[in-house]
Amino acid sequence: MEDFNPITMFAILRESLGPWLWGLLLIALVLVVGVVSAAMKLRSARRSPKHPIIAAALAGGVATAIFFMLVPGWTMATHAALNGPVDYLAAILIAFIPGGGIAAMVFSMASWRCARRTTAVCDKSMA
Amino acid sequence: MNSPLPWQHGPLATDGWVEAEKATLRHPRYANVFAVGDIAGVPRGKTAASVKWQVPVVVDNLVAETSGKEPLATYNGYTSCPMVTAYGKAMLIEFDYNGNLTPSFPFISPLDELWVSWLIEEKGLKGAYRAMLRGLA
Repeated sequence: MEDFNPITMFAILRESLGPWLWGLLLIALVLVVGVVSAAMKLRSARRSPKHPIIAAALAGGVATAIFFMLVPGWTMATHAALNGPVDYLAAILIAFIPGGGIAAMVFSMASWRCARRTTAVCDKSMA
Repeated sequence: MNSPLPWQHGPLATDGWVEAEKATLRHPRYANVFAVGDIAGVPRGKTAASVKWQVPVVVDNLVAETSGKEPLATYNGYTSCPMVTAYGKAMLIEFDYNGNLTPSFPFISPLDELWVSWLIEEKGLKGAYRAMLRGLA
């Protein structure tokens, strides 16, 4: 297990995913930049992050649940193959990758929208 | 079953395998000859997973041998046998010369039929072996 350090894992991922890895890393970078800039925009607009966080959590949860249903099929198996807690945990963690991405995207979009608004649902000031 | 030609009948081989001490993987008659993988006449180790653990041992021992020192690095017979038991299920069995289970992942029970073992077999091993061949894993 100690052999699976981050450098080794990255090498294995690079060999497994090929050029797709760089595309996924680029998407992840865009999402991180989006979340950070959206959070900063919210902060500068003195808006509460509550509603964007709730929206992101809901969207991320639903997306993770949907991808959880799809993950076994990605390995040419069915849900009947899940045979123990470690199987369910692995499937949930894999499903959380796209789910987390969707949550980040929703948080960014909702935050920008809230930051632009002056009234309505996002008008709770941080102060 | 024998090792691949042309080693089977060469001067280094006995019974179709290149002779090798179990632990050091050194040839018992030729001190500067070592064997790994499919040709090695050891009880286990005809898998890529074994080679991953054999090569560092042989490298260390070759360096020691060429430096005039005693080769001390040892290989414990580790081998891995992902056994597919059904569509979507596998057992990730790893063991040493003595048949002791030596799981790489403590959270994966080697004797349970698990989807996560199938996942590793189906999606992970090819990349792992390719990374290994490039010296990155």
